[in-house]
Amino acid sequence: MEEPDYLKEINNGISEMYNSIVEIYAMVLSALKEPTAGKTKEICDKTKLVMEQEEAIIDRCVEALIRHQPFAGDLRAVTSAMRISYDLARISRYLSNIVQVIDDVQSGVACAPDVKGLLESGWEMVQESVKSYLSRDPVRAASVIDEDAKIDSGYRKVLSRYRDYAGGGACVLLNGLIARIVERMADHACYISAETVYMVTGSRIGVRAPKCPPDLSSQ
Amino acid sequence: MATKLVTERLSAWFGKKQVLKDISIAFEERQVTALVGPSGCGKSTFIRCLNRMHELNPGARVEGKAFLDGIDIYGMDPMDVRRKIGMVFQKPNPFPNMSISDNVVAGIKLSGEKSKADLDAIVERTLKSVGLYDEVKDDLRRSGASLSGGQQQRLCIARALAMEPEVILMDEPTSALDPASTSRIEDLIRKLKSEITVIIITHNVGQAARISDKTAFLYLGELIEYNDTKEFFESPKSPITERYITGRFG
Repeated sequence: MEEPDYLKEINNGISEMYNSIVEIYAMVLSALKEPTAGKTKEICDKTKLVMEQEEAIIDRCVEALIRHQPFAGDLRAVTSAMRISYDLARISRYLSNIVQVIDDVQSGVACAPDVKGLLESGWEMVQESVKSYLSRDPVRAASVIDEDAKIDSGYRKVLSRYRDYAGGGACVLLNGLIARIVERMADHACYISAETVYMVTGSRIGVRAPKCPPDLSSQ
Repeated sequence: MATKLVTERLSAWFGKKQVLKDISIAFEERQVTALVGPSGCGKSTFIRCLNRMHELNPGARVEGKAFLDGIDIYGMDPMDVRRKIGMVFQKPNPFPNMSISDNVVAGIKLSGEKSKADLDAIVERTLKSVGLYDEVKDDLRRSGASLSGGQQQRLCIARALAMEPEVILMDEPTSALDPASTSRIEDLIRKLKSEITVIIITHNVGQAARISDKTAFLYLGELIEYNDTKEFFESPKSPITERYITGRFG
């Protein structure tokens, strides 16, 4: 069944968003290979662009709901696009966070991250999920969900490796992971608060975009 | 949820032309059910079979069963059926030579004697229930035809309600009304379901989604799909339903 033009536009938006994230992923791979100084800002700016793309898709979806009052498959396509654009925005933030973590932790410390394989597997899932969405292929989409157990297992292996470190390694790891989760939780509290401000006043507070470091390259 | 009105393999003809084919459906009590489908699919004929108006057409014929609270409608007195199953039409049709109050109680006067006080109480109660009383209470002797289109349609609903029906059938009741009047009628329909069962035909799928609890799709005289409204509009089971409600045809 031929899709209406407004759905094609929304799909194009998702596709553009994905292309931006592909670029961010390439930057992450490069950051894993060599020191990242100077790249954090570049990745952060790209992530900001993804956030803007997400906003644009949500605006288009809201407009589609108002103007076209879609039903059935068209309605599901609009609501799914809203959710998927949010998920893609989160993925871009996570990729950006990897580079930031490398910058924060690796500074002055000789440490080569050894989770590249896990990252590649996770990225393959992202690629497949977006491709299955764009091609409207539920079988391909289901196979992505089946892969998740492998990532979960890989994640637990990494944890167990550090847990077994002597000299309090487990404690350091635990503190790091919990702190990270708390940091994400607080960010989401900010997003909820910003939505409340928007809902009541109509003004947007830009809390979702990442806080990028100043650009030092021109100094 | 109790079942109020049921049809079993209901078919209808105009002469030799079959317009309804084996429609089996159960309407739930105190729910709003929307009937949607392209023009000519048999929606109006179907609801006219429910209150035995179809048989008034020359050459018209009905087969199958229809039950109101388990009693065969086609075994009842047609006037009794029409008292219990009221109808509101697409175009507001107040009796032009009658006042507002006489319009409301016209059916009651035909069906038996009541005191003036009783009739006045019915006029006030029904006009209040359709939200019209405050707009017309200062001059209930005015002609019903002098009201605006939206007010006339609410007057016609009040006329139907005055008979204290158990089911009310509405055949595109807002298609001739402006958006504000449509919104008032939709609010009224939502309110009515606390007391009676409502079956409404609409070409506006958005309206069906807004006001109904269940939705049925008729196509070429057949019942294609009948489901809870949210499910119907979000994930229809039939590809024909999907194509219709997304505007691909019809």
